[in-house]
Amino acid sequence: MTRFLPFLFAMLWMNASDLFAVNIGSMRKSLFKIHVISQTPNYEQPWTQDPVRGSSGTGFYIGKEGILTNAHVVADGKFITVQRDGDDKPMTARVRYIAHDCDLALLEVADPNYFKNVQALNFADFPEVRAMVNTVGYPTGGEQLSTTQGVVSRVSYRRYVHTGADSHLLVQVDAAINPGNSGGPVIQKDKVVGVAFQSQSAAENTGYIIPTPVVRRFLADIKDGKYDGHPVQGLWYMEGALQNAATREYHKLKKGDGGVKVSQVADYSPAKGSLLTGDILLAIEGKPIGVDGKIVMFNERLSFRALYDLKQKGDKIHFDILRDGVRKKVEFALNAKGLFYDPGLQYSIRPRYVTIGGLVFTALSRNYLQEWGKSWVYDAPLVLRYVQNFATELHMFQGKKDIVVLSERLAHPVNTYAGPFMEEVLLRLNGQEVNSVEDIPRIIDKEKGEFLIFEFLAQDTPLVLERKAAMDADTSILQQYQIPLAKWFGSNADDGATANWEVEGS
Amino acid sequence: MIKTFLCRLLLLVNLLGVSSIGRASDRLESSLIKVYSYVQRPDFDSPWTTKQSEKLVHMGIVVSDHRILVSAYAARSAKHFEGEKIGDSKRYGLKLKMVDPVANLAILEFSETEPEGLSEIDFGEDLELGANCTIYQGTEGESLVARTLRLREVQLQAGVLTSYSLPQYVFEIRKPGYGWFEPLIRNGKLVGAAISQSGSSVFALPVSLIKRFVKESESDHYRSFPELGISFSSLLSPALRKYGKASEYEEGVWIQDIKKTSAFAKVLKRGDILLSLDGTPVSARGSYEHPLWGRIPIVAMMSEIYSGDSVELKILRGGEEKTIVENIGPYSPELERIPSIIDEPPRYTIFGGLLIQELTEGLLQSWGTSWRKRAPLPYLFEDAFHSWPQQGGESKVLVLQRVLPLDFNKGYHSMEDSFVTAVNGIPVTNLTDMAKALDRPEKGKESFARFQLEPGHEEIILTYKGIAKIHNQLRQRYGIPKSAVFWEAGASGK
Repeated sequence: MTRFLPFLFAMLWMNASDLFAVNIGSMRKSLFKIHVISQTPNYEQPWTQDPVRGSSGTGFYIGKEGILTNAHVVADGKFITVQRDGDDKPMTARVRYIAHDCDLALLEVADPNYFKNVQALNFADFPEVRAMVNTVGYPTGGEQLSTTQGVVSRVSYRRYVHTGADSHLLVQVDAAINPGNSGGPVIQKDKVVGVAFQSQSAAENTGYIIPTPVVRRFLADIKDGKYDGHPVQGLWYMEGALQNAATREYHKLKKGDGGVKVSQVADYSPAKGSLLTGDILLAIEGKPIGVDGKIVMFNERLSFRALYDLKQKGDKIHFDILRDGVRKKVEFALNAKGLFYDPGLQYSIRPRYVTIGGLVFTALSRNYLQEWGKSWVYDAPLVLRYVQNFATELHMFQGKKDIVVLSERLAHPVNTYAGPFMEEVLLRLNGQEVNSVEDIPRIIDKEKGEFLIFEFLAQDTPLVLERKAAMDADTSILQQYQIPLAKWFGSNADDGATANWEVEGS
Repeated sequence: MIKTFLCRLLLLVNLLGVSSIGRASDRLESSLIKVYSYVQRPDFDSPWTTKQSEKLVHMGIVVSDHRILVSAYAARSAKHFEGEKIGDSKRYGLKLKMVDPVANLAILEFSETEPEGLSEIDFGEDLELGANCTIYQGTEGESLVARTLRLREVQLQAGVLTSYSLPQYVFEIRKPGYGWFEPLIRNGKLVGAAISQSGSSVFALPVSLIKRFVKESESDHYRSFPELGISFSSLLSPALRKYGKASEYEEGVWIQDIKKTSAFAKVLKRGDILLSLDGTPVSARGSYEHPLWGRIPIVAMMSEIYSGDSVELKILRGGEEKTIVENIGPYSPELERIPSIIDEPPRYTIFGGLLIQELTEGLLQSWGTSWRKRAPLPYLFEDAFHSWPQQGGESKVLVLQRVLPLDFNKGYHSMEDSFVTAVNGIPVTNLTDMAKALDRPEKGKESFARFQLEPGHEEIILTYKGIAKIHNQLRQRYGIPKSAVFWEAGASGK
């Protein structure tokens, strides 16, 4: 398997050639350079933050919604300013909506008159493959706006690196890409066809853009004032199995039938109850699915997941299926992110955690695993690597909002012998299932017995604390280690972007 | 003070007695054989063949009846042996007489003639911590190279071929190239033999284990090392002690798990506290006081016990003491759910191009030196947490290793490294089960074979029609020999 090594680039494609440059004169006033001061929480010590750093990106005005950019440009942003092309003054901005799963964000500014006389850029439907496109933005190494030209080389459904776990429709462009440019518009003729957002470090001249359909889905999603996210799938299938003659005969497929076979439907999937293991998906929304799992969409052959993925929460989707030799139609309503383990990178003000008797329990996440360095996939403890990979599929983890890990021991006599339990996955506390970090204080508050008995995955011995001694020690442990909060369970606005302007009188 | 004086005195005597030392070394040379083994290890990727033959040069020690003692690692997969007396370039044929992979020891015999002037080695006693001895290495030259060592520690270490732990000497040697059964000599007598090297640590079997093996090898009923089959964790935490109602005791360990094949499987429970083994108290860290080696893990006591012996455990359950006595059986690496002998030829079957194997330690290690990081995660998870036998020990982990592509199995060519959990709807845990299940197609679907895979819940459906012909095509296209194991209809009933 080839390894995809993408990296985010925070500005613009350089080396614009005059020969290919488009006339962006009329668009200039709609383009913004975005400066961000950000701070990332430390997942090992969830009450602390890593050092502050500065970065910049590009954004563009799309009308009353505000300035569109990438989520990764403003993620963990503590102070954000936008600067219009040709202006001398940066303007303080804040995040209005942020969608980490599809790497998009909308910014707004305090002054309602700031966008007076600014023309909103319009979107075109979908870039044609092999057609020329221009990317506009602010590269590092200079102040001026820069444009680069490239050719749309292919359309696919693949991973967005901002979370590392979500896949959506994307468009690949062959153009020399230098780090920079994230959030800049990609223009064909005089319309926007996408947002520049990531590149591939393993290959030269390869850039990726978020195409219009994904941007439009985002804008439609927030119409109700809240970002719900792309619909949950939790559906696995065997690609290509129906190429096999014996398998086709077994399932009584007709000549010319395509389709893929469902291997698993997660408990949290909206398809649960509608689709079963062994079902053959013949068509989605009336579009026939090939044996490779692809449908014809935007004149290309794309995974049927791309169509599913562009729906909104609450939308209905329908499949033509073959079950036990009988053709059926099934329809079910889609839902957005629910209570199950998310293997993608998280962006929150602070990771959720709770301390008890000097033991810090936190929720497992890709961020947490990245504390083991670049090759965490190999270097992190086996149990955590296994859970990260299979939590969404394995039955024992379904219904769990968090995978709770004992992440840190603040040494104190009450927890002296907890060493062997570090980095283990907590399953039960005093016999009760722990399905989230929040469950821990919930269980402890009701507890009156002598002990706190923690049972871990892959550990046959329990970790036992004397309940009263552990509770009594909490205050002094927090003081001793200067931990401001005994627990943090997140807030409603916990999307990792807290930048705001100072409001007088508040 | 007196000790140092004695040492100096001995040193003085040694210096004076150079000629006698020379004679002792001559005598040692007559008890050592340089052995050349031509080893063919299994090839787990293509289990019908073996890896390229490699030549291992190691030491052999002459024991009773001029038999040659070597390590099992260098002997078990060997196809051919040759022996050479130190200082004599003539090669003599040798053959394997017996091997115990758990002890990592083997006995060879000269097949026809033997070199003249061989003499049986004298066995000494186990070394005490801090004691000196000399390790002798047979080099490309004609004489032995000696190096004085000091016993740094004794560790309970997995043997080289299996995961069974034995007490082993640890010496420090910075130079690589040790661990090829070099003898350890003290006062002209054998006190151990080096079996592996990791970094600057050289591990060696104490002579007591060697003596035991040699003596048993002379008997008609060889008794191997026994299996306790219990895992435990320390009981240092006062809270855990209180919870386990062991507050009044100072020793004992928390029993974590009991193997299904253990003699104690029916009488012990998780959470019991093990207080003593054959009358020897077990500390809260799980150690006991060895007369020579200090505190070492209690499991090391197994090397003093023979399979068939009765073993007495004193345990604490719910605050009450209990004494349990059972006859203990031998450790059988092949009974593990993931068998632990690394050079055992793989067990596999090919059905329509699906290469299905029983997961073994050897297969896991075929991912190379960093296999603990690189092998497929579900395999590693099973190995780390579910490697112990379930029920009787016949249940294994079946894996689809890869698919040998043909049109016949098109659509499944990229499937690999998954567990095979059911065939034709029947749960299977080993190749025998699988053969039986393949002989029982599903009702109404008689011409199809259906394989269920985990953890992804995939299934592979192939046909039985023309399967013999397909197997012939596979043999031809992929150069698979006639001896390879292909599925045959009805073979499970034979």
